[in-house]
Amino acid sequence: MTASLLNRVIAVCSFALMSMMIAGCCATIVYNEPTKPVALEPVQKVDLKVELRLTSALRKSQWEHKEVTMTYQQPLGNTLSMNSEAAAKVVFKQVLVISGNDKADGPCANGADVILIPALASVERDRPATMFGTQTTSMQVTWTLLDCEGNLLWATTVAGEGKGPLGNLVSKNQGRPQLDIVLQEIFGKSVKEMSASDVIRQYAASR
Amino acid sequence: MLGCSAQRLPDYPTLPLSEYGQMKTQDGVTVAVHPMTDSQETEKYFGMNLLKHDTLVVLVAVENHSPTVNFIIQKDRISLKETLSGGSNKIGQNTSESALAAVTGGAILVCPVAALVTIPFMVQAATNTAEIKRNFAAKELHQETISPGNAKNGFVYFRLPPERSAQMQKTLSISLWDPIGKRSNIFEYQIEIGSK
Repeated sequence: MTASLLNRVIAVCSFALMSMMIAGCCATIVYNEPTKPVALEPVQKVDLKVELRLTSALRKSQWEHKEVTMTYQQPLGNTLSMNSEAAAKVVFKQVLVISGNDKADGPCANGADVILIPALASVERDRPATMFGTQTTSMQVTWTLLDCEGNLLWATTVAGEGKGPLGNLVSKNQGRPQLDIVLQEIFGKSVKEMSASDVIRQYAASR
Repeated sequence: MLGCSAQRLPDYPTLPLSEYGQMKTQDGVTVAVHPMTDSQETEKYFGMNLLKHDTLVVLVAVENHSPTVNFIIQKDRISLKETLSGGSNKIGQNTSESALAAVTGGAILVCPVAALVTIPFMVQAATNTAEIKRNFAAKELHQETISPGNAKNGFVYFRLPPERSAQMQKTLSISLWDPIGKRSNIFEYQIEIGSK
């Protein structure tokens, strides 16, 4: 092989390697978001018309993890909004879903009795050393109930945790089993806490 | 710090309120606080020396002994402010909403865990940043209703100024809201913060 041919081969290989590195730098993997609400046990409904305020922060919420060459994203906004609506409809007699109002005060929309605001307080996923290790997803959702003047009536924070195999990091469904467990736990607990609240039922009785 | 495996940082033990540093009672609700100013303690429960990273962690424990009244922890009203000498706002005194707004002017408000954006940078050397972040979130005090006979506890986080004197004295203010009486009970505590 002549020196000039060797130089050309090295140049082509260098270009290919640089291209791969640049492409690798910008890679983002967006995982699939659950599209169906979790199954919730029915409870005795609270006789209130609730404005469920789905804020833009909730709708845009996601988990994100950045590494040197990769970004991993798990969108959560749609599933949290959908499950919040499902939970509110299990607990309250009437639910009016409002998007685009990000204020945490009154007045209530369209004759609602109270304002219910869900928010993602935290979400975290760990990274086991191998794909056979167990991954844990932890999440906390805060619920705030206000009267139509914006006064706090009730609040709680519900935590959930799901464990499952790490699996293939580049699969669009990576982490899905543990996410399903977390959502089931959080919204199941949310329904129980809201329906068991004496404050909420006393407020409904006083209306 | 943490090993390769996802080893969990330990939970802070739940103690009788009288065993925490400071405790006050108003209208049947008792609030105790424990500022974590010992580096060994923050290393143990948070995986790092937090004061060195300009973060003050305070445990807040609340017990509702009222037979009828619910109280809501007003997370956004928790603040750390300069201690005023000879002020009219006495410690433990019930303070109205407007007075609270006045006294919190210029205060360092409680920092939600999500706002501790520097955490990932603090723990660059740690193998498991996810556990440290999870632990911060799991131990955080939230805006929650405490019904009669129940108790809650959790940590609040404050960002401190990087340029600060060796010894600082601050007043920690905690607000509990009575949703039926529509009034806040304010609890105040003197806290001494040492050097980094």
